Amino acid sequence: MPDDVKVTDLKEFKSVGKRNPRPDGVDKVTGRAKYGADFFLPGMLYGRVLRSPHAHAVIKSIDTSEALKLEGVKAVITRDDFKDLPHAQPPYGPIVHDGGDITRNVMAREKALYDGHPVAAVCATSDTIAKKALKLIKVDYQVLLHVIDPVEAMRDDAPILHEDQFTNGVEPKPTKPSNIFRVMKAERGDLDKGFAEADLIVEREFNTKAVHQGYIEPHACVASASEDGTVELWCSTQGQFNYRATCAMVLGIPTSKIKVTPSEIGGGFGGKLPVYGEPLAIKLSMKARRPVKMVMSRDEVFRSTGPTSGANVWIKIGVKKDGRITAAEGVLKYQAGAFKGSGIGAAIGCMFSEYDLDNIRITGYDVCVNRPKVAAYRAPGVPMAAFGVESVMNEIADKLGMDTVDFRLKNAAKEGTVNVQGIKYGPIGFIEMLEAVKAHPHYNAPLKENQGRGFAAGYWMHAGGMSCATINVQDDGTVNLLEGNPDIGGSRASMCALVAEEFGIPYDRVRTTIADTSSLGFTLFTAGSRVTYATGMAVVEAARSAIKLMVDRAAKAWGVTADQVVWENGQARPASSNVGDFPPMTMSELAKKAPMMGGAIAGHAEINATGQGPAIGAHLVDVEVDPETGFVKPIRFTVFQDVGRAISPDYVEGQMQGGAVQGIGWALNEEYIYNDKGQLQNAGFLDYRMPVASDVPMIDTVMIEEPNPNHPYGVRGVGETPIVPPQAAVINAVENAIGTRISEMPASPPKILKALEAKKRALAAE
Amino acid sequence: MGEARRYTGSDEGEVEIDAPTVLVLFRKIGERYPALKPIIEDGFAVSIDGQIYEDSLFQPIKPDSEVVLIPKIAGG
Repeated sequence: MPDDVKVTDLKEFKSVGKRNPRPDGVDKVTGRAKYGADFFLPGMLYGRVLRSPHAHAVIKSIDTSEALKLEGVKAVITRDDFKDLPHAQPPYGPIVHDGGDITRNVMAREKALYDGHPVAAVCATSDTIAKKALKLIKVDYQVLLHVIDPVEAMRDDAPILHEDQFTNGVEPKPTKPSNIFRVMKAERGDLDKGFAEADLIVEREFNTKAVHQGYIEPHACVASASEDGTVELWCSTQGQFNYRATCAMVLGIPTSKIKVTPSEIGGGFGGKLPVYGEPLAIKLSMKARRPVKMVMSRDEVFRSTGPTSGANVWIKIGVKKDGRITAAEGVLKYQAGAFKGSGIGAAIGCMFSEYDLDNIRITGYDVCVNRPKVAAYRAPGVPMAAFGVESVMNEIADKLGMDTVDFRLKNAAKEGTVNVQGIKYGPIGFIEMLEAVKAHPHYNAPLKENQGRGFAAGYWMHAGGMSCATINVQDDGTVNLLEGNPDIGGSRASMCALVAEEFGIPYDRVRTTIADTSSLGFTLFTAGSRVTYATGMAVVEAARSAIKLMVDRAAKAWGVTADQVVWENGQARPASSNVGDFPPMTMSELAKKAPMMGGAIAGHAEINATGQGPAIGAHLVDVEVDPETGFVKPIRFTVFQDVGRAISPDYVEGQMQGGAVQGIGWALNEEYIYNDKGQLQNAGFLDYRMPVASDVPMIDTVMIEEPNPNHPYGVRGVGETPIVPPQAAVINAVENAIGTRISEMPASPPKILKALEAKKRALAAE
Repeated sequence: MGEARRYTGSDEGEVEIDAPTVLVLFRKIGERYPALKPIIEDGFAVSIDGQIYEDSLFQPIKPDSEVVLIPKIAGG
């Protein structure tokens, strides 16, 4: 946080904390808003991608000659159009930094590594011609054995995806290539001693499936490369600056030559952080010397873009009879997809971190498999591990005969707790949250037959990082704000509220524009729950610099010093009657007189935000299970979360509700289904069943507002924490309803029926 | 040293280093553990007395502060 930013005193705000309408709302509900597929340019061509039908195959040759002869085809590209790039150093994770991997993911090089992997792309005068051209490209494949399960991929006899990949993090350094990219460990205390002290030890293995972020808007872009070497790209992205950097790297173009303009974005959840068609569209445009548009179909989104990891999770927890945990251990085996980088790092850092544990060990395996490279998905990597941890926590509470929340209270992290990474907490608020859960009417509400109640908690660390903002005061005294984060969850409204609050003007006198990469300094992506925190901080700084300018001008006009002038309610006025009898100067007056007082009024800020802090959430859910069909219906859901301060309560609640709904889908329905050839069988919303409004109850929210002392308005990130607890909470509710344990997600009806049958057989055998 | 420990070639988990800023800390760690040198600025964040800082080379460190090296993370 910049040194001169101080936390705003608690007071009755006029815009912050109010349920303001979204500035982008009308255009979005009337269809006027421009998304990625809504851009058109004169002379534009249509790009299409040929994708591998094989999960794992050597690409022996690609013959594009017939496609190029087709009338209307203007260019064809393959691996030969992209330079190989060197592998990079860490960080490794769902957000790929490795140029060697990125260039191979956007266009297969030596091998096709998953069903849907791009092997060629064409552009033509119509979409129909482009699709026809794809059929004329001849690819000679040598099909190889494939592997899509992380546990199978770890075996010695598994097909190897990358012959140059040797497991990192083990000694001695392996000499044989492996699908395990890295083994990551974190440890604290004495695990053996901890388990030896335990009165009860529960260990369980869990499996989860890959699930997609399920954003409504498919990836879409228009690229236009000029003969002068410059490139313009319009696209749907969570980070225009990151897309610019990645495209520049893949194509070998200086960053300064590329301008990326973000469209409105129809969801991302982390899935629009990597590039896919964008470098291809630029390369096609460079070859064809005409603009090229590329829009993915839903089938392509499912087959070729990042889901989150499916995982194998093993959890062991030991406790004393009084409920105090003595030791906890976890082993995580995560699918990374075709290239390294799953969410094991974040999972290790978060999975036990809401608890105060002395003895702990976590081991994570990052495993390459023949699936699309995983992408970030809201708190990437953590929900799968949390599902295992919270399931075992619930089982232990049951076995001890303790209330499940009381069991957590006994072990809750508090100020001074040190987590597995060695981070010592400041005030963390988990105990207060658990007490709020117990006090909520939902907690003890009666249940009917076939109904069950589940509870789970979750921890997540947020991101900070670089953000820029520019404020321009218009000649009528209204304000235009320029900031660099695509608005996914209502951030424009929060930015407008912060600016209005700082200036002391009505909310509707501020307008926020999302800048292209040439109009503003580097701003990190819309991800990591960072926007309202980090960019909000930059926006406040920019507003304060514009206010300072106006105060200086008023002081000069009155012939006094700047410290004799204060800014209040949208106007400069003398700090006291001793300064002089000057009528206040409003923002409109100052703006009108700007040409005569030194020029336009603007403010700007460039910051690297830190101090974001973690957040904890807790979910309470009731479900009803149909014992004849195995169908599970969530009937009541309450989300509790420390949100710091809600700048826009409607959109904070929306984040909490959205996380819960995605968690319901993850727990009950969603999964990638492959055939024995490693080909995805349910690449569409009809067969990949996400919850719709009629599938879920109203999600109630309890916002706990403990202002973050490191932000001028007390903001804490909110977007990701709500995806961490819901899976375990839902599964726990199902277990509570049917009286048997479930160790696999999704808990779809056939699995519920199987569990009920097994229970029936066990009872009969007794 | 947290996750960074595996680059140090020893079991040394805690070290005392006199460094007024993160920049100086990283430089001194790089000198002491050469395997960490090429990745430390890009691959790690720090927690100073429980507060996480990423990409903050000029962040001051008090003489009695506890600093933990942690892998950088980013969300979705």
